[in-house]
Amino acid sequence: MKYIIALIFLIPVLSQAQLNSYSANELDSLQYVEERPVVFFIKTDWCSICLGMENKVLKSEAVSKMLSENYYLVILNAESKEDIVFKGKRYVFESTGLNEGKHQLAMQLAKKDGTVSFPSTVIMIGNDVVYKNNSFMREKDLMDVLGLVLDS
Amino acid sequence: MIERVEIVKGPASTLYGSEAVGGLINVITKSPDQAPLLSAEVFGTSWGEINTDLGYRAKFGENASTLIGVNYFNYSNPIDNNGDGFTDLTLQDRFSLFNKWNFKRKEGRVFTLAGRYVYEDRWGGDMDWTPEFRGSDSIYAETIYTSRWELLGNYQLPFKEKVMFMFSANGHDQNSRYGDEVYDAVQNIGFGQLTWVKKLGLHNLLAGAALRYTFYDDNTTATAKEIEGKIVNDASEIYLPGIFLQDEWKFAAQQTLLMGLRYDYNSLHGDIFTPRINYKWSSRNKMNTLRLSAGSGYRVANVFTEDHAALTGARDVVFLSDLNPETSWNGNINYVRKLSFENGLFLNFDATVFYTYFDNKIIPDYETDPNLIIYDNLEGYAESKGVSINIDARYKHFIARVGGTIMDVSSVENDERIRQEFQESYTMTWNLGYDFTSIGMKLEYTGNVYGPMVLPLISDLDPRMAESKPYSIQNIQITKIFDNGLEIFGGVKNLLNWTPNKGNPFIIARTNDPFDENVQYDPNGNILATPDNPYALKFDPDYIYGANQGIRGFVGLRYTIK
Repeated sequence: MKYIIALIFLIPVLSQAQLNSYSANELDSLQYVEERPVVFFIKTDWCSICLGMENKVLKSEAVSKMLSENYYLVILNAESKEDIVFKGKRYVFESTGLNEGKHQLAMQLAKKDGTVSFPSTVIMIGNDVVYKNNSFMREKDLMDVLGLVLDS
Repeated sequence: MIERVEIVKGPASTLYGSEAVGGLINVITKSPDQAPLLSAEVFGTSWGEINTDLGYRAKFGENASTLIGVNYFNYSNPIDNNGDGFTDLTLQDRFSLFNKWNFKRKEGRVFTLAGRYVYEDRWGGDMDWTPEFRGSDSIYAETIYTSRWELLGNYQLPFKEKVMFMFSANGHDQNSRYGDEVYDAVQNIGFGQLTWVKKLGLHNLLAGAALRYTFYDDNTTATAKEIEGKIVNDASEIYLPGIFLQDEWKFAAQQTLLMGLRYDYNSLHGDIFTPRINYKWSSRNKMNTLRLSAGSGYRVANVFTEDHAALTGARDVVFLSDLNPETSWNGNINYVRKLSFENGLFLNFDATVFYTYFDNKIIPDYETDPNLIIYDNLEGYAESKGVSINIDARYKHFIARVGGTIMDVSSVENDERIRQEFQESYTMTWNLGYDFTSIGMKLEYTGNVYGPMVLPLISDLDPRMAESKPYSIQNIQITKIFDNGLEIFGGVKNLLNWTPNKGNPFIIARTNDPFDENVQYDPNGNILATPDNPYALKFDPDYIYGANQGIRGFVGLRYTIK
C-alpha cells in the first residue's frame, strides 16, 4: 500500500503556460483603463470536459498569448458563491438546495436556446454578446473565433 | 428531469446520516428554470411493454417556476418462453406524478418544494392466474399493490448566516399476496434537518441537527407482541434525533481534510456514534486527485422491506434472536487521473479500493432448512472488499465508458468463510457511443458481464446450478435526431438472448405444485424424493438470479421544446 501511494505522488505533473485571468468584479475598472472584448469561460468543478479545455486549450501557448494581449479572460465557476458586480449590477449565487445552486451571472451568460451546458465560452464587446458556444472547443476553432472577433 | 448524478464513494459526509457508509448516489434534479419547456417520450417493446413520460415547465411571474412530470408504464402481456407455466416477467401497471416548485428569493436564498406520487400494481405467477384468484390457494401468484407519496423541500432561513431547513415526509403502503400468504405494510417517515454552513479562514464548518420519525406496521410478527398470552398488534415507532459537526479544512493549497462526527439517538437501539474522516489531494492542474476516507456506519435491518424472499410464503421466516443493528467500519482509497489533449481526446481513469468490516450483519440463511429462512445476529464478522476501475474516453464524436469491479462479500463464522449468496464476484460494464452529427444519428452499444454467484438450492438432489456461470446482457440503440426537436429511437435489448434458464432444467422449483400439496416429508421433517418429486424439492421462486427476459426489440419517440 505504501508503495502505491508513493507511486501516485511521483507521477509527474506537467507544467503549463501561465494563464492570465481576471475576476468578473475587476472588469468594470479594467474596461475603464483600457477597453477590450471579454471572454467568459464558464465551468463547474464536476465538469471534466471543462477542466480539459481549460488545461489544454486555454493554457496552450497560442490561446493564452492571444487572450492576454487582446482580451480580458474571466474563468467563471458557475457554482461560485461569490457576489459579483458587473456593469453596475449585482449578481449572487442562487441556491437550489444545501450543496446545490448556480451563480446568476454564469447562468445568464451561458444560457443558449433556453438551456445551459458546460463548458460555455461567451465573448462580449461592450454590452453585446457577440459569440456563444456551449461545448468543448478545439484550439484551432477557438483561435479562429478570437481572430474573427478582433477583426470585426 | 435529472441534471446530474453524483456517486459518493466511501463514507460520505456526516450530512447524509449514519447509514451512508459504503457511499451513496445523489440524484440532482433539474431546477425548473433549466428544464425544457416541454418534453414527451413514448416507447414500446416487442414484449408489449409501454412507457410514457411527459415533462412540462411553467413560470408564474418573475419568481415562481414549476416542473411537472408524469410517467406511465404498462406491461400486461403474460409470456412463458421457458414453458414452466409461470410468467417469465412480472406484469406491471405503474403511474407516477412529480411536481417541483422553485421560488426565487432575495440574496439568492433557496425555497424549493417537491412532491411525488407512485401507484403500482404488479403480479407474476401462474399463466392461468386472473385477479379473482388474488390471495387464493388454488392458482398461485405474487401480487403487490403499492402506493407511495413523498414530499420534500428546502428553505433557507432569511438571515445573513447560511442556515438551511430541509424537510421531507413519505408514506409507503403495500398490499401484497404471495399465493394465500398476506403481507400488508405501511411505513410513514417524517424528517427535518437544520444545517448551518460557515466559512472561517481555511475551515468550512457545517453544523446541524436532524430528527427522523419512522412509523412501521405490518400484519406479520415483526410488529406484534404478546400480552397475557394474547398476540396483539404493536406498530413500531422510532424517533431518531441526531446532531453533527463537520470541518472541511483546506490546510494546504492542494490538500483538504474533512472530519465529521455524528451522534444519533435511536429510541429503540440507543446511542449511535458515526465518525468520518476524508483526505483529498489534488495536483495543481487538478488532473490528479487522490482521496482517502474512513468511517463507521450503522444500520437497522428490516427483513420484510428488504428481503423479497422473506415474503414469498415459500418458506417460513424464523428469528433466532432479537436482531441487533449492523455496525460497520469502512476504508476507501480512490485515485482519479484525467488526461486531456488539445485535439479534444479526453481520458478519465478512476480506481477505487474498498474494504468494509461488519461486526454484525443480518444475512438470511436459506441452507439450514429448505422450509425456512433463518435470521440471526452474526457470531463472527462479515467483510466486503474489492477493487473497481472505470475508464472514460471521449474523442470528437466518440464516447466510451468501461468499468469493472472485483469483489468478495462474505461472512466468517466459526472460522468458516461463507460467500454471500446472489453476490457476483466480479462485474463489468461498458457503454460505447458514436455521434454521426452530419446525418443527425447516434449509435449506442451497452453491456454488462456478471461473474458467478453462489445460489441457494433446496436439496442435495436439486439439479439446478449451485453457482451461476458468468453471463452477459448487451443492448444496442440507434437514434435519429431531427432539427425540430423530434427524436426517433429503436434497438434491441438483450442481444445474446440470455436468461437464467441457461444451464438449468428449471429456475422456479415445482411450479406445478406451488402450494406444496404433493410434497412428502420423512419423520425428521426432510423432504422425501417421490416419483412425483424426484429431486426432493418444494415450490421455490427464490432462485432466480437475473432478469428472465430474453431478446426484444424496442422503438420510441421523443419530442422536446426548449
